[in-house]
Amino acid sequence: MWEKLVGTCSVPVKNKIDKEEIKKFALAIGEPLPIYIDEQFAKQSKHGRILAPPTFPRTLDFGEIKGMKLPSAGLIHGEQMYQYTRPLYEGEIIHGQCQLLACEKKQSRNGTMLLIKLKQTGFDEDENEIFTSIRTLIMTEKLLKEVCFDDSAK
Amino acid sequence: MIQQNSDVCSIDLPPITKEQLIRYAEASTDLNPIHMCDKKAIEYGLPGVIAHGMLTMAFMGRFFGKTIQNGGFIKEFHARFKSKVFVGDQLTVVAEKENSRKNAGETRFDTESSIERYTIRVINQNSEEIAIGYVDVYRML
Repeated sequence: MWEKLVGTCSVPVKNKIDKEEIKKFALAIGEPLPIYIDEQFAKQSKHGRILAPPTFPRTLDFGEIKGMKLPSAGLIHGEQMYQYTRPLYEGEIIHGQCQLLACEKKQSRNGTMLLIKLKQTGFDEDENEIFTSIRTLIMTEKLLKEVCFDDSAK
Repeated sequence: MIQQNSDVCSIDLPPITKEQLIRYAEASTDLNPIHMCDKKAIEYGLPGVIAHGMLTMAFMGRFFGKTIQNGGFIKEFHARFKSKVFVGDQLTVVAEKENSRKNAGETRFDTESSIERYTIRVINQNSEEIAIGYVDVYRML
């Protein structure tokens, strides 16, 4: 379905790492550490400012791969990897870009599944790579049929 | 409750609530209705709403707060989601230190530091494996 798009990248999107978003996220994951939510504490720490929890990039925008519209409901998250060269700090500008790494059909006991592997990269303003996220998403047979029907009906 | 025994540490989490899933959905911007609406989840073949894999992954990162507050950070974090998490499930997260190595310029930070690898497992109240992964944490010495 989207196999032809493997290798395609999105147009990068600018994100600002907002300290209120970091706080909301830290509370939602049940980890309200001072380094995530207390500016005074963070200033006096070795980091010098508030930093984001390691799974925070989930909240950022990495753009869209042209021709590929992932369904907003039903996708299952199979696997996730984050790699950082340094922490993500509040206030900084990060350019997010995604790339389709793989898209393959697989047979399982539940029927046909589509495995989608996406790479999302965060760059700072000097184009240094700060983090990479690789996520594997699974589309079940039912969802696949719905999306294919939507695509062919256009 | 956090238990520690040499290089193994475990945390028992309180039961998953629907409110928690909705709060995480809003904070993470992952508004997939299978995490928030039972009716929608059932339409997709699930018995009810399931937790985001990423919420489970966030729980897996719980052991490193002190290291991070002391100037460290998580350098690499991997998780494979094996089973679903439902409202009411009680998860236990277990971290085991695998090894430690001197930071050989792998990060842009100073070299008086080490990188430690921990294997992390998440199990539910029925001892079913929910997720498995690892963390490489950069620790300042």
